[in-house]
Amino acid sequence: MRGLPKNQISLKALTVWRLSAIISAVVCLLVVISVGVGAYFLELPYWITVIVAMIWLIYSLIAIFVVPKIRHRVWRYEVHEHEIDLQYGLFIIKRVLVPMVRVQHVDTHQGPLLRKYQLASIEISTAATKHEIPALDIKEADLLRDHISRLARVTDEDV
Amino acid sequence: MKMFEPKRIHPVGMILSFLKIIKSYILPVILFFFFGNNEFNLYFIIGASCLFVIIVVTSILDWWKFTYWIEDGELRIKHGLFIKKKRYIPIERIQSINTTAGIIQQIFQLVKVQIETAGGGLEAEAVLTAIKKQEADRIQNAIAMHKRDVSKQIENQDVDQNEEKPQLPTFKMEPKDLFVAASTSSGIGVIISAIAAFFSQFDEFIPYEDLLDRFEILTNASFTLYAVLVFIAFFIAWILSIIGVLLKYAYFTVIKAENELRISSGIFEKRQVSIPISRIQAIRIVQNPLRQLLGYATVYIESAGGSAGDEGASTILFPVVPKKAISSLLSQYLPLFENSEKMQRLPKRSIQRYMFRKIIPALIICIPVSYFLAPWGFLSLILIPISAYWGYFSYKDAGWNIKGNQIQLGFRIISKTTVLIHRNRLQSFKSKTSYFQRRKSLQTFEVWIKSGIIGRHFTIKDLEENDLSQLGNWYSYSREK
Repeated sequence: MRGLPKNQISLKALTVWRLSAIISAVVCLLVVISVGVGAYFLELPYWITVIVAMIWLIYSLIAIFVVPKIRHRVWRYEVHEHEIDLQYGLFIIKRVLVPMVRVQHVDTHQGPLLRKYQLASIEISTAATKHEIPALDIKEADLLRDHISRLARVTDEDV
Repeated sequence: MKMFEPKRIHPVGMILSFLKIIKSYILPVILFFFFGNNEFNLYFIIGASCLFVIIVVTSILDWWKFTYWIEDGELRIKHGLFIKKKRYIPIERIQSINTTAGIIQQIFQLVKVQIETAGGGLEAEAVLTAIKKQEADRIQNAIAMHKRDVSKQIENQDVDQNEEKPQLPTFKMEPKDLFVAASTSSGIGVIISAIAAFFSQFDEFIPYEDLLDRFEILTNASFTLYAVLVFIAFFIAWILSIIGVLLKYAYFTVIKAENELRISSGIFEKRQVSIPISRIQAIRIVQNPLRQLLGYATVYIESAGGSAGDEGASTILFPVVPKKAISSLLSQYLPLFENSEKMQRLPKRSIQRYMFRKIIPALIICIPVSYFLAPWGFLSLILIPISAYWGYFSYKDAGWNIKGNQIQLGFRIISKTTVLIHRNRLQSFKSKTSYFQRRKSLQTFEVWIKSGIIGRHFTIKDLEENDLSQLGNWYSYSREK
């Protein structure tokens, strides 16, 4: 295959991913606390709580500080005239080719976090699969979406 | 158009819709019967009879309100009890027309017609549950006529349809193959689980109390008894599954028409499916271990659209045929697909990973079982050589081959599988590389096709990195190779 796809996603994605990792860490913390309370009332040994808390701490630190960095470093995309080339993944690096003639439709969407940072993600659907490019600049995402859907309209095959 | 008049389906449709509703209620009723407190008090009886009356009335009204006709090149259906629903299906959009006849339809000499478009959905777009055979033929003819008219307008051709039909190629099951199919079917598993479920109802008679206790009371004599019982149960299950398969495939025929395959089968439940050749996404050739020993294989068609059939989106093309015959059969029925015996294999250094993947889970099961359930637990050690074999053959059967625009993929999950796909049917192309694979410069390869309503993917693990980039270049639509 060719070299890596050229474009990286927005650096602001790092912030968004970190924020969402923090939010999920907070939610998990509630679980940890409830385990602690449960262990206390059921008179289970306190080390259960300690172990759960340790696991939570390590996992959260990795999820907040390490994972977004790696994901961002790996994530690349490029839209050629005839195909879309993506690369992503954390431990397993995935490289995907989606031919334009197979693209059925393209959407952009935003969650509340993405909207706050003026980002959007693009979802490319073929007849059988869905592929997402996360966290692009909203202007860029709109341009890219229109660009892809223009390129995809060139052919008129059924499936 | 001669079918201008809106029509109702045959009154038998009432019975069918009644049965359909009952079918959806039967499970809760049985559960209620088994797990309820078995008190048939007055309220229960009143409730049940009310429900029954409601169902009867609904099915009669359903039948009364359902009308269909053909008009302006569309199949039109009007139905609905309180909310009027109309469905207009343009004839150009119709992908396939399946006629089947269940037992009830056969008693009254009727057929059920399912009309499908490419759109998804679990049900066919239009289902006429009970109409006369002649009526079904008329619909088919009307649709065919319309399609022909349209294509004539498009192509501006005045080719006269020859009234004399040439002999179309027809495939039928050989008696010998039929027997092989029956005796090697995996339906045995289904039947065993059904028997097991049946016996689990009788756990008053068989003490399932404590597995461990049972291991302790197993003297040698009773163990033989158990073994014999298990053997007999297996044998009965096998015979039953043979009968089942014989019934299923005895009248299996494939007819190749101009641009579609017509597959029909069944004695009690007659099914006919027509698949336009242009809708075929891939061909799948599957050999379960038993059939592989005998040199037989099953060939499936993966096609797009349609409703979820009995086996998902795959249609059986040849139930069980000798592996050697597949190439010639394919060239006769689907000349676009070509199955070659030679494939590019995986590099030697993948063996290790294939073996590990199968042996490690086996070890995880065996070690605790041997430790806690000694001495019988040691029997589980048989798993280790079995999984080693399994790993080795998964490696051996994996491979790929490119011929023009067709890619052939080989892999084994449990059954040895070969898939034939054309490049323009591959929805996406994916490579995966884990850290360990990168150190050995191996990559995993995954492609998706459209099959039925959703997609289906095929994966080959641990290919040579260079091979994968070759595959990528073959697939890539960009000209900058």
